[in-house]
Amino acid sequence: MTRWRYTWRATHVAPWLLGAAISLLLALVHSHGPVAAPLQIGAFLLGAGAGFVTDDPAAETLAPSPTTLRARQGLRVAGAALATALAAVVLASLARPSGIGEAGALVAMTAGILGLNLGVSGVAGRRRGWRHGGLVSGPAVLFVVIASSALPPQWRLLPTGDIPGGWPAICTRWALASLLGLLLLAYSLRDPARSAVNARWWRPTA
Amino acid sequence: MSSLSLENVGKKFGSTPALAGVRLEVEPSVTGLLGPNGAGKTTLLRMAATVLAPDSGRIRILGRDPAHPHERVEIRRRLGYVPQEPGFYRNFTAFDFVDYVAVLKDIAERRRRHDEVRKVLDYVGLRDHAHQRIKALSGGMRQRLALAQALLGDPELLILDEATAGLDPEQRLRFREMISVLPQRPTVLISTHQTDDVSALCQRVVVLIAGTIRFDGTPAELAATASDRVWVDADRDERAAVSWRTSAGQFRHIGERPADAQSVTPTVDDAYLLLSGADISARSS
Amino acid sequence: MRAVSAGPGLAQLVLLEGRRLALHPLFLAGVVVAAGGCAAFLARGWSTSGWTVYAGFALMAPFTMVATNVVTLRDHRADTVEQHEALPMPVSTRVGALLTAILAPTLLTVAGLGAVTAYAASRFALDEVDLLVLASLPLIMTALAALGVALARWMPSAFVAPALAVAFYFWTPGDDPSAWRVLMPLNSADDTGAAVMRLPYLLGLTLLFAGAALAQPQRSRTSVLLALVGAALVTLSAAAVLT
Repeated sequence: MTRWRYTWRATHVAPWLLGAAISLLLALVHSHGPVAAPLQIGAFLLGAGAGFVTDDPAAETLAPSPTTLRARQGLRVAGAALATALAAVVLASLARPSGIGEAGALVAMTAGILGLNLGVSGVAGRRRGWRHGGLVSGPAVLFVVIASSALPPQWRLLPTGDIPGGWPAICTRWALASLLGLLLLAYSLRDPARSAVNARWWRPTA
Repeated sequence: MSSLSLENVGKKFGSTPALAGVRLEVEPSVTGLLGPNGAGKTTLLRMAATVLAPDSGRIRILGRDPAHPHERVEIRRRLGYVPQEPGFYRNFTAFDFVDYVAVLKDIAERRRRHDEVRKVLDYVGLRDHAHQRIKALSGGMRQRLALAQALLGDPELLILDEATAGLDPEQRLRFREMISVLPQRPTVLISTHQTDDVSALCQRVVVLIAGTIRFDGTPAELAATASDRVWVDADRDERAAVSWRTSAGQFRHIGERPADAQSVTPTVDDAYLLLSGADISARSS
Repeated sequence: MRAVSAGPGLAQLVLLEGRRLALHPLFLAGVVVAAGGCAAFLARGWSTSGWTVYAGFALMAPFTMVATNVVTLRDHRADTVEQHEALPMPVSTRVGALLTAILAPTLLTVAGLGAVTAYAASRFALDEVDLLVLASLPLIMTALAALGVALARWMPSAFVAPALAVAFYFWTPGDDPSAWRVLMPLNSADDTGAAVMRLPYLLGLTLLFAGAALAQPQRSRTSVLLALVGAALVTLSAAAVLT
């Protein structure tokens, strides 16, 4: 419990809270308009806000603690994922989507954007220091989503007009995006003291 | 058994070599690591703190292999580390920050943990500031806070990267006192630019230049490498490798002493400058 | 005290910041998006895919906005705010240099857009509205880039500009037929009147945001003047579009 409390206090949650507040406001204001826009914006804002949770100014000081990087960041990421899931449910219930298909697609989109943001944030933190993840992840994910418009319709993350394959296809591609992001995150949270050369199985003289 | 053992360790950042074939055995004592900026000191200390893996070679810390996950955790339970630029959560109080580090160091039992936190804060002289937010602490206090978190759990190996940087003379003296009377007598590996810290504190000194070890011995032995190579004169001597005007108004010269010049007793500073100055001259020529 | 002092130092700073902005990864990401828009047009022709040129270049603007925001926030990230406040060049001059440096990515955009427009005009019949809409693109970029600087000065958080970029992106393709839609920076006008009035509107936004970016706790004549002229242009042109 103490670990959760301190982790919560040490986590940069202000961007996520701001994103959640704006998303909520949009969902309330647009409750009579088209469903997709406020929920899409909400998904991006929650995801981009979650990208900041991996930022850790004390990362170097805490690096040699027995609690591994994966465990330390895992708590933050779990908190962000849980909060984002709750927020997505609230937003979806406020926006009243047309059916289970649309609702599922929007939830899958939120999960995909969250996963991508966490993955990019983790890689940026790993490569540039754990202060830059949030700065990089939001714009990078927006770029990926816009750039996916150049792909064939069945691979676009935000398709326009008729959707080949319908809602299930959208759910699948966002689920894949989420998986990709989580794999990137897992890769970026490897222990810094672990390297291929130094690994026991690799060293010939072990 | 040595507390830290580096065997032919190498590390590159891109195409820039930071360490090349470093061999070092650190026994329980206070060891100073001297070297100019970019010599590879921080890289070496980060490896010793299990924060960075080498590209080549082998490291053993406290008799264990940091490449192995379980052994790494064991090492980390018995290790204290003050990085070159310690980071903090500025909205935490000093007590909360050290308590958080204690939680991460697996000191689970609350009462024991709080006693331990109070003990280390007392030890670094931050008892009266324990409940002040970190953003309100001075630079010197933050440096002491960084030391406090490193002392949690009575570490067997204490790694301090330029821990005296930014401290005023009084705080530096206090720091030396703290390190020299640590109750558990841990192995201390300290990197510094302050040669007087090395003379006053370290039983052993290692000089690292351009990623390789150029000297390994006691401070007295380091000073002795400059015997007959330090002289004082009223004017600047162009033949000296390094020279500067002292507070007495004379020039202190280091290098190949001319036959007519009168040598003076060298200090660790002289010997270090001779080593690093010669290297700089060689590289610039 | 003058708000912005001219001099060789300022010119050097403008060049430095201009180069930094023109090579910023986020601006380059915008260039990739614009190139994608142009590629779609080249593959399918003006009548079906001419809009992709507009969309591609328009989307460069939010990326440039985030780039200027990130560049302006670097003192906060590096904890060098106090260090730079001690420099002889005042904050307003450094912000002024950054605002002027926006010209670098804008000129590159004008060059790219000019080449595409010239090519399109030589092969297809572009009408008046097409040309006016294309002409508004560099102004969209300057307006949002200035907004990026202003946001960084008054809301120093790396989250705000990307959040706004997302909002601009998703509101853009809306089907709302009301005239208000035209006032969203990334949207285009469908008729000549609105397309003409969007030019002073976007110029006004640029001046307004630049004034906000230059504003200081102490009174600054330059920023107040810019903001007043900007607000007047925005109000008048918006009124013209809406009526």
